[in-house]
Amino acid sequence: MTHPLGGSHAPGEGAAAMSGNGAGPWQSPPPSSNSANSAGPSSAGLKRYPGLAQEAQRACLRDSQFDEEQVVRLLLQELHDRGFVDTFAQLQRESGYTLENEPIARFRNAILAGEWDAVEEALLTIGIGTQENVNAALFIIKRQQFLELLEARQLKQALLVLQNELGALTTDTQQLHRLSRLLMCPSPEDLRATAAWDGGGGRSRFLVLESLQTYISPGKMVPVHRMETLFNQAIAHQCDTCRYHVRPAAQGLYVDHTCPESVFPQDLQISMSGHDDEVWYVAFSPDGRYLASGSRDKTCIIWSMRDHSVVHRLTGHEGEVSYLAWSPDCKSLVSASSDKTLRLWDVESGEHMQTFRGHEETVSSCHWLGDSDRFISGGLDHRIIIWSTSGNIVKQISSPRVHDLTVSADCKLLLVADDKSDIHAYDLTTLTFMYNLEEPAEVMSLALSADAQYCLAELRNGELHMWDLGTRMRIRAFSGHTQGQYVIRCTFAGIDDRLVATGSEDGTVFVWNRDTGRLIVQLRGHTDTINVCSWNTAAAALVTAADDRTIRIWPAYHGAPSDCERPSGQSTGASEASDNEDSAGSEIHSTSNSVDFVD
Amino acid sequence: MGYMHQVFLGGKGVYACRDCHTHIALRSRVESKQYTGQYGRALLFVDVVNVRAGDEDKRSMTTGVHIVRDIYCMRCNKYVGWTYIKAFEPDQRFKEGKFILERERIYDVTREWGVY
Repeated sequence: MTHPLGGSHAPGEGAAAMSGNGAGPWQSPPPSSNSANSAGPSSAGLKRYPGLAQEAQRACLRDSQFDEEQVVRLLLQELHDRGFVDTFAQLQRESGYTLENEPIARFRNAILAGEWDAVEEALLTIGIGTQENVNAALFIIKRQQFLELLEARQLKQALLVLQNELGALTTDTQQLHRLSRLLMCPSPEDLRATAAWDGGGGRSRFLVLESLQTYISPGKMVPVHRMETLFNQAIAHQCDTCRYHVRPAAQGLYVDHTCPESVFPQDLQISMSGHDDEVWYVAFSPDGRYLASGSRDKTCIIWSMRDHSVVHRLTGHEGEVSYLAWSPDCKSLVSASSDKTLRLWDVESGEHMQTFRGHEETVSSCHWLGDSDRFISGGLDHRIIIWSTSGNIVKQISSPRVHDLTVSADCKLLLVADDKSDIHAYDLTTLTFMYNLEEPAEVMSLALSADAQYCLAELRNGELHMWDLGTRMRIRAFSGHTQGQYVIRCTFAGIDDRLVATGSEDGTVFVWNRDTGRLIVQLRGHTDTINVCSWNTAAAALVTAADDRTIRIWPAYHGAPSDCERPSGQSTGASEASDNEDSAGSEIHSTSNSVDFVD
Repeated sequence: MGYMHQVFLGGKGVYACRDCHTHIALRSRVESKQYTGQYGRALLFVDVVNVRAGDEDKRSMTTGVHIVRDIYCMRCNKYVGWTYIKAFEPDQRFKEGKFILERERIYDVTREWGVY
């Protein structure tokens, strides 16, 4: 396979190297009918403000640091992608720049049309550098061709492509083996699933184009959706530099993303009482519509986030309830208790479904494992047990005494806090020990970020540490709160877990910026030691529970989903009556999946 | 009070709360057995775990006036002894910061297991 190196376009030649006066190589010849408009970009600008004098017009023109050709070609691409055909053509004419030259356009169109012979031909004319690059690019193209032939059940042709062409292009025999195994797929559906490929009619051709981009100079072929990429980067940067980041970035481009200056405003706090003793655990349902709390009074309560009323009171435990876990589908709740059992509850009816006996000491923590039919528990009796909701023990592992455990969202990582001062990491798929993180004091509680990159460890000596699990380094310490011999459960909070929150024995809640370690706010309201902090993004709120027997909700900002209308002075009976006769609307409101909260 | 972080002690000679079996002290940390409490014999320990202290109280004892705080099992909240905050007699100062556990309120879990 030969490839015309050099020619008029040297490889690597980019738009940046070209002068901005409209003399780039992709400049189309000025159409004769429109010669007035092709006088050059700099003079074209002067026509914008017809009412202004030339001097003033010059002042209004932006002196951009970006190359005009690049900017115009991004605009052309965006217009093209959005289907503004006439404007696209007009801009090409007026600016004198084209989105791409003829061979590139042929190349692109041939890929999107699936004309593989034409693609190969076009690839050789656009010039993409070394033979190695040509081979790599051809491999991507031929792979797509192979898959599409398989999808069309043209097995003979597919085999020919695999043997004669793909085989010659790569030395990666494993990759070839994987591809040849696809010949065995009985149906197109099976092929698409096995190859993780969405078919010739899907996005796959577009993805081929995207992966070929690496071999083609960006000056020749503007990377796909370049403007969109830049916008996304800008918004990501605005979120990165946002001090609080408790509100999702609105998809607006006119103004920078900022979070409200007043975060977790004190006047929004909602206090809920219903337990007869200290509240030791509280957690939002994953959809943010309910809260569940566990108390020293041996009961759990399910609360509605709509009006902060008690939905169900769950009784039956013979010991304090110290941990709760919502199933991912929000339909069941598991409670762990010092009575050595776990109990499963149906959220809708409040009924007790199952009791799980197997631990011989206090059950310290529990977590669901992905689906809604298995969960894991850890106890002070050196046991970690995986249960099925039917009550069976799926697996039992002997471990150190478990003071807390947490599971990553993908259910691959299990972190366990032992009774010494170590955090043990296990691979949950194989149930094998992976590594240890050593702390200077006993670890009282753990929290894992949603992306499983960071882990918080609350220590008995009052320190709160954050680990980077990628490097297994302790990267930050948060301070200011007081904590001693009682367990306080910390949490990540905010959008993308950018905040860290924990309680203090003096009854205040501390919220820090995760990346800077700076204290953002100290929330006052509880009158005694705080036991647990928890965050929910759907509700955009923190919830805390304390020894003062109350649970407090702290909406992140004015107008947050959880910042709903407070129930007014009317009695519950009256509000029920109005619900019944007034309108079925509020009833539907509460059961539908749409946003349940008043903004 | 809150949810207590229970400490577990190891080795032989572990004293625990007689009611809820929570570990409280190690026999190796006994400083003296020559004490008497409300329920009879009592032991002086250098340190204990899993206890919560009550309010300060000025008490007149056989060895003079002391400021003490009663201590309770952190888990079941039952009285187990007291801790010395301040001793007024110079020769009793050594007790400050140490703990008395009533023999009646604790038992040796390792002896019960037969791990002797």
